Amino acid sequence: MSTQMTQNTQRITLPLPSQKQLSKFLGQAFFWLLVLVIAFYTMAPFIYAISISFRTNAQVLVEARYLPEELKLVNYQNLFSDDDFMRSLFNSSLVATVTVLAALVVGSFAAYALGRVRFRGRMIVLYTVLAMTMFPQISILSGLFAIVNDLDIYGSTVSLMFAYPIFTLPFTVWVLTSFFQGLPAEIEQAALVDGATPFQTFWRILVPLTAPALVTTGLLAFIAAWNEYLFALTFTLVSKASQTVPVAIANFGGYGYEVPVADRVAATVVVTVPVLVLVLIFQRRIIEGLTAGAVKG
Amino acid sequence: MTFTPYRAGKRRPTEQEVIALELVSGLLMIIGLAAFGFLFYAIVTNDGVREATQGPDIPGIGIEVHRTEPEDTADEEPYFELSPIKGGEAESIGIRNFDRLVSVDGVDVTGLTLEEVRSLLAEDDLALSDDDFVIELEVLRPQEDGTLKEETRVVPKRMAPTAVIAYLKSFGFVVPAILIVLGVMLFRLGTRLRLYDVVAARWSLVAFLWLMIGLFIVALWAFWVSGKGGLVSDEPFDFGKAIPHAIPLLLAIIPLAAAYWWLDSVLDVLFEGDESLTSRHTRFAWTLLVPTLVILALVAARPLEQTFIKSLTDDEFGTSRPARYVGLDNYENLLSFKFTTVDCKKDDTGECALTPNGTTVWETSDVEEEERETLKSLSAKERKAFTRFEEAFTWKLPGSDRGLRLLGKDPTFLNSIWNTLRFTVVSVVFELLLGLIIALVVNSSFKGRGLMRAAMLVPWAIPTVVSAVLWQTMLRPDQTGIFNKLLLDLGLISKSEQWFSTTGPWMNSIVAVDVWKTAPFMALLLLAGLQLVPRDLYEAASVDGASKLRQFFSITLPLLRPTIAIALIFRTLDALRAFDVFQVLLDTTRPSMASYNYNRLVLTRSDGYASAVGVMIFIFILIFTIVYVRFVGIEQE
Repeated sequence: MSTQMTQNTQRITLPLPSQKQLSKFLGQAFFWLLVLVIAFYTMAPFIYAISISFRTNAQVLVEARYLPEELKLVNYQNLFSDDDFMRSLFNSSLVATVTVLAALVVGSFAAYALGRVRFRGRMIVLYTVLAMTMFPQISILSGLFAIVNDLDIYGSTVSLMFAYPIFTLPFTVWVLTSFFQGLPAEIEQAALVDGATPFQTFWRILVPLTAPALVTTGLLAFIAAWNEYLFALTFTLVSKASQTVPVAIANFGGYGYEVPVADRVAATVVVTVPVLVLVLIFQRRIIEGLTAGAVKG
Repeated sequence: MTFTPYRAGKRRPTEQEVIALELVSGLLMIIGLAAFGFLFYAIVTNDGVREATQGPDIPGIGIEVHRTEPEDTADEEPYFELSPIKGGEAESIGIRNFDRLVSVDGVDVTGLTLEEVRSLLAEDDLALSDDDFVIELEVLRPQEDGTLKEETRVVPKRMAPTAVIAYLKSFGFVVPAILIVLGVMLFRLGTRLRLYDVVAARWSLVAFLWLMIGLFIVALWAFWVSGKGGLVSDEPFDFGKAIPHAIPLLLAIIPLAAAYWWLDSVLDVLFEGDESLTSRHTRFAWTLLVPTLVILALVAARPLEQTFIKSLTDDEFGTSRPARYVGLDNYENLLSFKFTTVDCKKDDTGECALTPNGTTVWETSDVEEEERETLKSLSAKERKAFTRFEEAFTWKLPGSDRGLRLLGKDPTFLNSIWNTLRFTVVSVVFELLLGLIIALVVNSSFKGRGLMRAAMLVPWAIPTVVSAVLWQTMLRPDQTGIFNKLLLDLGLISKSEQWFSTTGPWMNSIVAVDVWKTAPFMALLLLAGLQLVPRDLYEAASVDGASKLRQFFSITLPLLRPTIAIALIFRTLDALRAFDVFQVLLDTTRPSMASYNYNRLVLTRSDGYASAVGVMIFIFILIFTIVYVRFVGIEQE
């Protein structure tokens, strides 16, 4: 009996440290495996796209290969010698930047009102804003086209800066509203006691605290505006000089009925890099926001 | 000065101050009235409305006709000579001066009087509802060598829509309503300001502030638009034109600024009354909401409202035919459905017959038989207006040889609803799960998480125009598609999979493509949401010995709920409007609601009908949103 007990305790106690280590190691291994799987899942098609971009359209059509036959840079050379494409890069950056900055400033005003202030008509405004984005793009296109024409901005990048708030603004307002609501109520009370005006409270204290949300919505809206196709195609049909990246890519000539996959994919690799750089620059702010603020319950 | 009803502020106003107040309140009232004036002027001078009330400038097909007696030969009959009006439809379709009229819509004109021919050409007795928008003209055209050549032209008629439709198409309800409400509010503000009401004074400040900002933006727009010249021009920016257009608008800011400055300086001493905290809050909130509401009213209100209005008409895209009001006909056609049961076709062994790829073959159902019979009994004209019920899809009832069949007047649309709903539910669920996992992983600190955050956004960053084509390439139905090649090389499949064909797993394929593309959106939103969860909560829970899993379900998930709700709303909204994946990867027989909308607009040009589809999508999104708000909740507790 006693020997059994000692054996039992030995069995349980002796392996314990190594089991803890093992489970910690397994946990770590599982975590890194997860990281690898996610990285593979999101990146693999893009990496395959890069491998396609070194091949010609004809090669892509005939055979699928994991790696290109040789590193042909002809697609990239075509791209960088294409003035229209280079200008479209500039146009897209301009349109997306202006749209996003406007949406963030205007949207954070509205979100502060909707998230922190109790007033009559609040819910109605919140849902009206959302309703603006509930229609398919195609069915509002003709109406929007008429307005753009009336304002005499048809064919310029300004028409896109005018039209894009229809999808960036409701999104920004809703996400930021939920973030403003999530902040502790003591913040404003403290600021008001210190004699700050409501606007100072908003601009100096609450906006910096919502940095994660601002950066997130900013990035998501930037990419949405950067990739938007239908409005850009319709409103810049007459002027090549105002085309944005997706339109320029879609305009790459095909050979017969085949879609010029390799050219388009090479262009995509080129235009995705600046977006990724942007993400790398801003991603720190996603995590830093709240912890940097001096809020303690 | 005794006429101003005065309630004491801190001090009595001086005589100049009384005058200044009259000026400022007068300014507000004038701006309020100007809103009405502007609306009235716009309606009266609108081309569409004028055409509807007074008839088109060039009525009908735009043609004049004369009876001409031949000069030289006596035995030749008198004939009718045409002369098209400049800018009319007849001219643009190629009727020329001196053409001799032979027949109108098949009616020979020889022997008719001039009046009769004119009435034939005008078709005054035809109404909009008669569905006749062209006149066919047969003419003899004098050639240079003196002979006559026969020509036939089909000329569209220029007809005005009814005044109501014309008004609704150009103005609608929302913008006039906003103008009227703003006008009334500004006018009332002016009258209340004269009573030295402090609340009115504060609201006036808000009004002046935003009017100034608005005028400044309008001035910028005027400057740019008048300076840039035409649509496509390489001319340099013309400052000579731009500056004169902007200056009057900038000058108009001056009285507003003066009024703002004066009102602000005397606000505390002249005005009287208490303001509740709620009222202050309300004003502050609306002040902040002004830019958002103005932008959305400007950009979205008209197009959205027009979709509603058009869905009640039979408007056509890209034609001059006037739209007619058809009530709810479009919706009736879209949504009519019947259910019936149907037997399967038996093969020789008495079992249900199967097609080579394993789907059941069905008999015709009783409803379809009935419809066929009805159709036979109709006259040709009735048949044209009759829409029959056709099969949308058939589910096999478990454990029997029978199937449940859904039929509709527009089976493709019913199919598109079914496709879209399946697509939405499955893809959103997977995106949420995947997004949550990714967000949790990149939220923990490890080496290279910055890179990881950039890597996870790659699918979202690739333009949709390309990602669809990229997937099309990767998922080719033979070995030229990398997916098939990979799976064959790994020995997971024995023959190439037809990813997008009707017999293949097409729904799973497009869901997979969409999930890959949009899971990053979900992940990034949820990652931001995770930042709102206070760190000390986890520390406290760890001290109490709660497991990681427990912490996730009792801390993370509840606090993440509002963010999840919003992410769900915006993802569902996009999934219900899914267009690209369906349009690029599938054929038009398997549309989503949005791509069906597109097909109806572009392939059959029926703008009215397509708009009704758009409204249906709106309604579906609305239902989902309400469900999310109800059951997931966007409010923090």
